[in-house]
Amino acid sequence: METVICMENIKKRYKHGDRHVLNGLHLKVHAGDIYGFLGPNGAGKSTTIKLLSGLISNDEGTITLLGKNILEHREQLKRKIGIVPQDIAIYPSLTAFENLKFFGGIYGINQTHLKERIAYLLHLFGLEEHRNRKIEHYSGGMKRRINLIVGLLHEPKLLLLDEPTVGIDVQSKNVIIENLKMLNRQGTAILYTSHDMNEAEQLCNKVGIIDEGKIIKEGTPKELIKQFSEMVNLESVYLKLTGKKIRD
Amino acid sequence: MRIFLSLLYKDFLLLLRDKAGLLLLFVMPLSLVLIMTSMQDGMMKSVINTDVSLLLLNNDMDSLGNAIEIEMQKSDVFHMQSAKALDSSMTEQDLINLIAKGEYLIGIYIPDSMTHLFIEEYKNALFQAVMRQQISQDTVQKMKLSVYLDPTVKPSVHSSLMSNIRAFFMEIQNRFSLKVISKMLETISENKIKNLDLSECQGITINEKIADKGGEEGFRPNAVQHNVPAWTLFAIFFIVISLAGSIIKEREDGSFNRLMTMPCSYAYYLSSKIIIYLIVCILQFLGVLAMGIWIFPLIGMEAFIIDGFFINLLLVIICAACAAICFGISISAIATSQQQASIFGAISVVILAAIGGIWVPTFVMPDFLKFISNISPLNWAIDASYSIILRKTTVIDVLPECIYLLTFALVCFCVAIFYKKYKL
Repeated sequence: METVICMENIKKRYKHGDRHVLNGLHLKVHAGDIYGFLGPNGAGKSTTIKLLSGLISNDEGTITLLGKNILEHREQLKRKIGIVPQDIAIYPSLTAFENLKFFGGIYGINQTHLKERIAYLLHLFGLEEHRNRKIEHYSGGMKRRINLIVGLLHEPKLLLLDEPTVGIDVQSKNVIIENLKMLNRQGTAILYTSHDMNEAEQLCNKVGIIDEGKIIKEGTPKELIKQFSEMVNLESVYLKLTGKKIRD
Repeated sequence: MRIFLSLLYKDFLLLLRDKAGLLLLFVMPLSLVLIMTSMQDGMMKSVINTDVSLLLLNNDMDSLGNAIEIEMQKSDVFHMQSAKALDSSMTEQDLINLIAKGEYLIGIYIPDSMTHLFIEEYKNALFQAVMRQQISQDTVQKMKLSVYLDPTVKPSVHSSLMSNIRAFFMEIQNRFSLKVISKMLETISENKIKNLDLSECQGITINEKIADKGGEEGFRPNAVQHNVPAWTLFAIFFIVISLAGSIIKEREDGSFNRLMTMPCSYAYYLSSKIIIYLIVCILQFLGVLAMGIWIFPLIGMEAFIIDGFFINLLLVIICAACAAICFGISISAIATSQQQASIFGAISVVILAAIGGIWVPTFVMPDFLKFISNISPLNWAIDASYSIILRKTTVIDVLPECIYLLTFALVCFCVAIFYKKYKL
């Protein structure tokens, strides 16, 4: 299977930081995967997403996305990757349609195709009736869905999701999860971070648990649960591996 | 190009939807220019024309004291009130108390026997010259006229009022002394000289004109010609607050980072902001200009005269706007929060305006401030604007100032780009 993300021996330390946030990280995600990237606060998840997004650079190691080195093909790769940040990173004073038209324009999508794509995605996520409402008047769940749609506008081959379902109701969460599964079936590889272990167990075909800048365990949810005979679900495995101490 | 157009579309919509921001950008400059110009216009009129309240206590009650009182009553500058008419027993201390209370702006006390002492002094001087007689030193010391000013009068108004009073007394004194000399010459000449009245001699008159290159007769820059460009530039520089705030807001809500993960460069992102805010600055300028030309005359002020130099002034404004916008961009890159950017932006613009000569002309500043004013973009902009409006120069003449402004803009732009790279 084609490797869509390949991170080898990645080290990253911030300018004013006292430690390596990523300390020899190895990560491989294959086409067709929904990879759950799980870990406690400060483990290095967001830094990994930032590196893959091209927002920051690694100190050591190599990153290859869709078979291309990120340093050499950053601009080209930006057009093939969809990124959904944890923040609702859209413009509240603009309507859903205006936001999507703007972000679609940034990807250089043809106007006619963009309109069709916007209509399709709004329909898919149940927002077509609200296309002309300003985002500031949306509920939390609707904002999350629009936030996700922005990352899907250009039909990316790889989707990076940073806690896409945080703080929303069960219905909205369900719409997002179902649509992510559908997108994956259509060929989009997904790297997904979350603190919701049940959701990860339900959605992901593979999970990696990161702590202190390294992957400490990797496999399918079933494989991981199986490795610890006394554990009944992914959450108990996760707690066993990362400990119960509160992280800040 | 598609990316750039999309960014312009977004920035235009964001600005359009920000009602408070629009008010700040368009209503603030108009109000600022209107208030400051009418205030300065009113201040000039109050000093030059009428309504300076004056209380005169004439204890002399002789020809010199009476002449002063009559001339004061005729004056366009002062609105005189005779103290004796208010209270016939008023003393010098009463007059001081009334001025200290702020009842009148100026108080003048003419001491007892001033006319007599004045004539005596001139007599002595003439007799000394003609007859070799001695001057009585006592009379010189006693002849003192006192002027009291309201303590709240600002130093600038104070000196202006005092120069008016000095000029006024000098004129009366000259006329009176020439009259005294004329009479004494008649007396000394033992009727050889008759009907001599030197006080009617006009002497030197001053012909004051503004050095106008075009030789336009009667051209006189007014408060409007000075204030419209000055306060427009000040308002344009205030764009840094709105601009820096908008950039930091995008950074804080994550949309900036999201854009950077897309095929959109930081330079593109900033260029779109520059174009949109440049349009805002031009609209601000046109709004203020329209107010100066059409609204000011309706409220009793002189109209702003733009004849023939609109394009030249517009070019200077564009250069100043570029400097202001890029300054705002550099603040947004360095500041860590919207609050920090607004405080720093506002204070820095006020400082740049102060040292740039917006409030006080740079030629009256101390040497070190004069030197510092040379590095204020507001100073370059105001110099260039005055050159065009008041000295009627061309763009070629103000090219150095325009180049300074554009260089400042470029430096600020580079600071923003490099600071972002450094932060990562």
